[in-house]
Amino acid sequence: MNITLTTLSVLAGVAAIGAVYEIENRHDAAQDRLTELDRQIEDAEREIHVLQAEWSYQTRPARLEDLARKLLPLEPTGPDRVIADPASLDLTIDRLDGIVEARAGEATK
Amino acid sequence: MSRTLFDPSPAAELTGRDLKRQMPSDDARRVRRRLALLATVFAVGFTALSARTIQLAQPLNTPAPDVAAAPAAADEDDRIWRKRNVIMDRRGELLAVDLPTRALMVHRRRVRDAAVLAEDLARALGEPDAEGLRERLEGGRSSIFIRRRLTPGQVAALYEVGDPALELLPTVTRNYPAGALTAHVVGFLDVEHRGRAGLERGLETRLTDPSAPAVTLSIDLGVQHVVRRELQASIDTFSAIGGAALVMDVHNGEIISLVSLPDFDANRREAVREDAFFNRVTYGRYEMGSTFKAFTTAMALEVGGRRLSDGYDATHPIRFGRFSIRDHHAKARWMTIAEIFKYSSNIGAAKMAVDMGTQAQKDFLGALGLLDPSPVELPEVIAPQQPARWKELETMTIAFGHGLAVSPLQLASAMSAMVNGGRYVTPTLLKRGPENPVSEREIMSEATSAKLRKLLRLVVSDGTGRKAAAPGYFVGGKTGTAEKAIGRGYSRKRMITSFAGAFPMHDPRYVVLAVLDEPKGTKETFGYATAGWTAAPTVGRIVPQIAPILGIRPMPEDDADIAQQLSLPANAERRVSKNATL
Repeated sequence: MNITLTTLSVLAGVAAIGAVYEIENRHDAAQDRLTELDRQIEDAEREIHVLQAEWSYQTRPARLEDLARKLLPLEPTGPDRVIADPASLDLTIDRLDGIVEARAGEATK
Repeated sequence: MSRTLFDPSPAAELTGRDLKRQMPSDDARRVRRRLALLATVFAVGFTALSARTIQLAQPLNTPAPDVAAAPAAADEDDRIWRKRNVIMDRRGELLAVDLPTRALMVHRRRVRDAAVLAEDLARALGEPDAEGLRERLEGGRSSIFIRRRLTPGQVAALYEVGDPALELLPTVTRNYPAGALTAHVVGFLDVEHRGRAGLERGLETRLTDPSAPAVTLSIDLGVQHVVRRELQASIDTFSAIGGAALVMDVHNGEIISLVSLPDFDANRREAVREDAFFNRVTYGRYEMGSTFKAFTTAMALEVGGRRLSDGYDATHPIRFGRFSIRDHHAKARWMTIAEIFKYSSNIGAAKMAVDMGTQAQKDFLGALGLLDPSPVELPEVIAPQQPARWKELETMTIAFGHGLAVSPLQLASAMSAMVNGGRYVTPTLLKRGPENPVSEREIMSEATSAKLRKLLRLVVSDGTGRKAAAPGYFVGGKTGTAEKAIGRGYSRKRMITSFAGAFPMHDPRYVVLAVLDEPKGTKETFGYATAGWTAAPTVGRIVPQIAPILGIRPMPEDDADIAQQLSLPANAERRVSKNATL
């Protein structure tokens, strides 16, 4: 009975040591992966940082203006193109609808 | 041999109690002590193992101290590219940013053939002067910095060269993606990567504190671009030697745009003329001329309790010793305060100021912040130049803007107080928020401010500032043409012209200021270089372009409500036909 107990406790001890060793091993592996991931994140952050600077450089107003002049058939909106009261737009649309209906009516006649 | 626990004799069947009985009491006590010791050792050992197991089972976001220390050490090298915080405009566009780069160093002892290496380097760096490089490689110290920052292309080319004498050191460079656009606001660094000018210097502690958030300015890059382009156009047209322009929020003092020309590209400062570093908006001080009449008039209305229909006799020039004060657009008659403002009468303004008194003028201008340096975050802020002697004559000249030199920023801040309901708001280059709250003080009543708005609008609708008009945006403002002080007198040819305006005048949101240094007349202006011909149209071109960016909706010019708000009382002008005031 005493021998069994002794053997069991020795086995338990060995098992515990083995388990701890395994856990340590896994921990080390996880630690390595963590370091690696940290490094990758760091690299990615640096790249994002540089690209943000590049983006700001490429979208500087002077360049955008030049490109827009060259490539877009658009002009800046003048004040006469802005409606002071947005509510009046509904009225205009209503009137246009009316005209369209009237025209459609004429056409069917 | 004494008997022990592991004695091969029948001891196997012995129990503790038997042992106790059979063994001499001395032995039994020793055995018990050993057992206790052994048990303690095992207990401690297993407790330690359990503790370690539990510790390892913890999630990894709280790593053990030895684990955390390692990446921290690596930071020194890896994070060199973000030594300083970034600076952004109000919309988050980067204005100043640290970038990783390489510096090129040559170890002279490892150089085998300086001529060949110089050739290779010149090719890799894209530099035509191989001879100059060779001279540097041959002379002096054991290791030489050839370049402090390299482009990625140059780095690649240098790896191609692959000479053992070369070393590429990781380092950091400060980059300004907007280039010259915000040069005077953002400033630049010295070779030690410390702030030397502009906000880079003014906010040094905040920029170098890794825990501080990124710096967000009140500047809007789009507005800044428009203002700079139009100011440059005016400088070119009128062959001016420089210019300054400013857009400021009248309610919270945020400086939306600050342009001083000539300027420089902070990315390559080597080729910059010295005078380009001069920030005219905050470090230049000028006698502003007639724009000051806005303050004189406000003082008469507020402190003196005058009405717009009250007036002064401007029939004759004022003689004072060897000086005489005369009008440029002389009407030679009695004028109301409104007329004095509209026709920009020096005589009228001088009499108005004398009527209020020197002390009242000092107090009023002081309250407007015109006698103290602007409290803005830049290190380049100049104190105003006050007259050594401030008596009756000085009171008269300061009334129309001569004798007191202030910076354009001071002028814009004071003009904000004229139109925003009478509050002086501290200007700032940082975006307003919980950590940068508005600080303001009451200068004058809302009623006086409303009168000033009408008068300023009158100047643009029917006075010297007509060229500042921008349809739909109800610009108001005051022109100022001041002769430059040269030596002891004033030059007739060299002038500072300015237009200090605001829009939309029925509910002012932004002050716009343009100042031109020594503009010259052109054929189109019939040779005139006065503010109405030079500075006013600059503002007139800026406003319709920046208003959409700032979210201000144009209103119809014939809007009845606005006409009502901006119309002067009928008796403010002498021969005024009804409704002609807009």
